Amino acid sequence: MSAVTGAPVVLVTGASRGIGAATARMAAARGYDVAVNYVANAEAAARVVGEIEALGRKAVAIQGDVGREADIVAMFAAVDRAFGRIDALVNNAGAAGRIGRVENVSGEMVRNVMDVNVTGALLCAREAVKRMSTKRGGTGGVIVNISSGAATTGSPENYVWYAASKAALDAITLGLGLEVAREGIRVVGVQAGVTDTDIHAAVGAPGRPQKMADRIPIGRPAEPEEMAECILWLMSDAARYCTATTLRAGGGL
Amino acid sequence: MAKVVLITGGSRGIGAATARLCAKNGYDVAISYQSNAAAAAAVVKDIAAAGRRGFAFKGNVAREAEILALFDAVEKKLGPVWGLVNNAGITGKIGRVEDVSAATIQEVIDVNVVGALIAAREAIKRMSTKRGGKGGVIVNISSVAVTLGSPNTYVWYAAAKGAVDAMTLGLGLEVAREGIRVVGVAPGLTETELHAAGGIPDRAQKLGNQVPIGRAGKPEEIAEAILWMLSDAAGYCTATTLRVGGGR
Repeated sequence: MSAVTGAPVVLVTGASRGIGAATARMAAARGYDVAVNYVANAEAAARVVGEIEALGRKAVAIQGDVGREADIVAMFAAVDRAFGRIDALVNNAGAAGRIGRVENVSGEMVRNVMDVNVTGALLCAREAVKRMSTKRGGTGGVIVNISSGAATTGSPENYVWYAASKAALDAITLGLGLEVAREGIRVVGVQAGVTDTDIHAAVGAPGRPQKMADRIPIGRPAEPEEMAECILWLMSDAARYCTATTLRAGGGL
Repeated sequence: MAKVVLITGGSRGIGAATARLCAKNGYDVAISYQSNAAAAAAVVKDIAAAGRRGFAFKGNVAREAEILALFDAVEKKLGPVWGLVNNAGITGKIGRVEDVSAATIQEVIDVNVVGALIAAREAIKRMSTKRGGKGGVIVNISSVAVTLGSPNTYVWYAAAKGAVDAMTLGLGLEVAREGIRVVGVAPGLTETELHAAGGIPDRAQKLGNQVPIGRAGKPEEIAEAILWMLSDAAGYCTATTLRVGGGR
């Protein structure tokens, strides 16, 4: 619980938009104070912070690129200053590069995707474990890694590198979950399906969720809030026996 | 009208915990039980105490005729089934494959696989929007045994639960556009009487320390996952199985 407000504190990376923003809002609605990390869109982050404050909870926007270790360390220091603790981390910030085939991808793009989705998530988890572990005087916590159905489909013709990064993230969920299972920390994942966010525009395929609807068994893309529901449940005490595992929320995909 | 959830094997263990939690969450609840009438009656009493309608039906899910009778009785008593929890399950006596009888294997498959599939069929007939139903959710109780394989314990049970997972996947895809979600929950080592039936009553206590999280699960902890999967909050989850094993 925050020393200031008595509420549990969650840090959501990449929280200015999409699944991250929906998660930040829903967390606030369920009683969390929220650290809203963003990399570029200060205005969107400020909007999320405003919505959380309107719900009567404390929120701070923290700029930082999860692809850079120094930014991650500074981000956690900012969380320490603002809240004095952290109870949950949602490793949501993600990069996919541009849609295309492996034969055309640049090394720089692959490195950038790995830096954010794998190295960044792992370093964020490291900082969270340092603060949460009961072996280090913490009071435990939950880490939720936002993965993708791509981890098992492989995403051929789209972004094999992104699929690879999310499979790596799933391995982190498993391995780190086992590593800290007796330190009061649960590590869980959500494999998101095709979700109606602007990640698709960012990779060069705006309108992709709607275009894909017919190929999704359930017949439609997900709303960000549907992913947030999964994340919030896994963060909750009701999921206290779930760890080192990833929930697929793909509408059958 | 409250939604009606049918839980097979609902008199004890995970099934009973799920029945009680369903009632607390506003569902009317039907349970089937094979033999323990007193335990079933206690569950129905708790459902009523929670202000909901409860109903217990004696029947063996290994017998098709009894499953048909179960669905008819539930429909008459509480209304059409909206949620089905395929929970009834058996392991047979713990042992190695080299010593197992064909009868044990068959019984395990009959209850865990054939029974669950027939119950799902009956549920779909009532739930499918293509057949005039209002949709629904089917939760299949699997086991972490599927990926562990359970050597020296019950490979046949692991195999049966593997079949259940395939059913969650295939059936989930089959009815995805008929308003029905099909999901699984794979419990780990849980403190239930399943272990006594397998011949090692204190198995959960004995092995608890080998679980990454350091203890066996409680039936209520598995029930929480089932209830969430039943809920609208899980509306985008289908054709998939959630592992609830404390890291196992």
